[in-house]
Amino acid sequence: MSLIAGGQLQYVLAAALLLVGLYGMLVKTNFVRKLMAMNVMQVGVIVFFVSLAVRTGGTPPIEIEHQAPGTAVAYANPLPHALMLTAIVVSVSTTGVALALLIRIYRRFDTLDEAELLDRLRE
Amino acid sequence: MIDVLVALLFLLLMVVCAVAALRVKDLLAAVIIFGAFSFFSAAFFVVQDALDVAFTEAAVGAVITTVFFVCAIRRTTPRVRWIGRRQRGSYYEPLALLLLVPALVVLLQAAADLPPVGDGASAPFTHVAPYYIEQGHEQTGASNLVTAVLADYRGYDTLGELTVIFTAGVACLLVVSGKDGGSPRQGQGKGVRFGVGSPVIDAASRLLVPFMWLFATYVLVHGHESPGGGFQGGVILAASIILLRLVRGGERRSAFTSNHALTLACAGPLLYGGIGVASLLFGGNFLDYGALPLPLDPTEVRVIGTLGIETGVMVGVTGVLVLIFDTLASWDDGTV
Repeated sequence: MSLIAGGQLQYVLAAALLLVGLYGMLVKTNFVRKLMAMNVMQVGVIVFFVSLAVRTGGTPPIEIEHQAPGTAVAYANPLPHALMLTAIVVSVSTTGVALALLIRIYRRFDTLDEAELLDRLRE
Repeated sequence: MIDVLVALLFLLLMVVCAVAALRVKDLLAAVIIFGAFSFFSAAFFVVQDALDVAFTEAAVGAVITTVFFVCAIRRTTPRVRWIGRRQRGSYYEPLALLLLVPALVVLLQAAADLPPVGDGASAPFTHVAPYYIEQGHEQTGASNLVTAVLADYRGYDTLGELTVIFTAGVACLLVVSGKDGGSPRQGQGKGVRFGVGSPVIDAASRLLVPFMWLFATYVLVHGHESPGGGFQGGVILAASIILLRLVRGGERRSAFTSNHALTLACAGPLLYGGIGVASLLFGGNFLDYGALPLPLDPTEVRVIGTLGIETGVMVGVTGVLVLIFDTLASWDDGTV
């Protein structure tokens, strides 16, 4: 495995977020906690995409008007930004649906703990 | 160099917050730490020049998601059981850690192969991205290139996203309206008790709301020139309505009912798709706003069209978020 260079540390931390979320989803027994872990995973993906859009010495992708001709300004890449912006709003709506399902599970089985729920399903 | 270090610092704080949110025993505390996590990620996005993403994350993650989680926890977990029990942790956790090792190796290997962060010649900067950056302002009339991509070049994508959000709102309603939710404990979970009864908070929030509406409108209309747009404006508008509900009482005491929210949620995608079909009728392609017959410059027509669909996005997002809040906060007394 080749070594991680300094410019790639961000990817490592994004991967760390992803793994923390994955670990939470595997280990935590409370469903609310699992959902939180899933959101952490989602943010890990968003961080990765935004990291790909950075340009060293660049500016936010908002065009500076009346700039002198010939002085090209380096903008960050607007395409991943647009995609991730919508992804964030979609993630909050899907989290809402998941929470509604959790409330429904709780009202039916009176628990949100994975082990207890499995016990009650077997009954 | 310094902004690279700041970005890494914020990322590190995010990882710490994520671990803390998953480890702390009290669920409510976990939600608050999760809000801090969202706040740090918004700060990280600012450092990374992604202002629109940061704006959205600050409004959505740190505000709306936290409110949703708190509502759901209040509805489901009695106070004595907020403190989670560790039952199967003993043999489960080492196994999961063991599973994560290969995943970590694969991800590190992939990270080592990626171009360094900030490389302006890497693959994501080839193909369409330079075209958007160079032509975006002239072709769409939007200085904010994210708006140009979101609402004009990638209008189809955004229509799809809005449809997903709309579907999520409808799914929430369907989850609520099912008949077999028979609870063993009928007396419990009659909805979150609203209203704090404090005149100071009441007056302060009422003072705040008109300015929030003004700001939401500004964010929508000025989204061409500065960070902002339909998504951010819609989230701010929804946050103001949710604030009023939290402080002054639930949906029943508000002039803006769940049914109104449902109407807005339907009107948004309808407006978006309607503008698309209108440009189709006037001889253009679907969502090709330049074809709309308005007595203006071609670029200005595109700006008007973009503003129209951004309004659709704003209305739809507002409706859906308020709708989801209503379903999460009040189960039994919701009429929809």
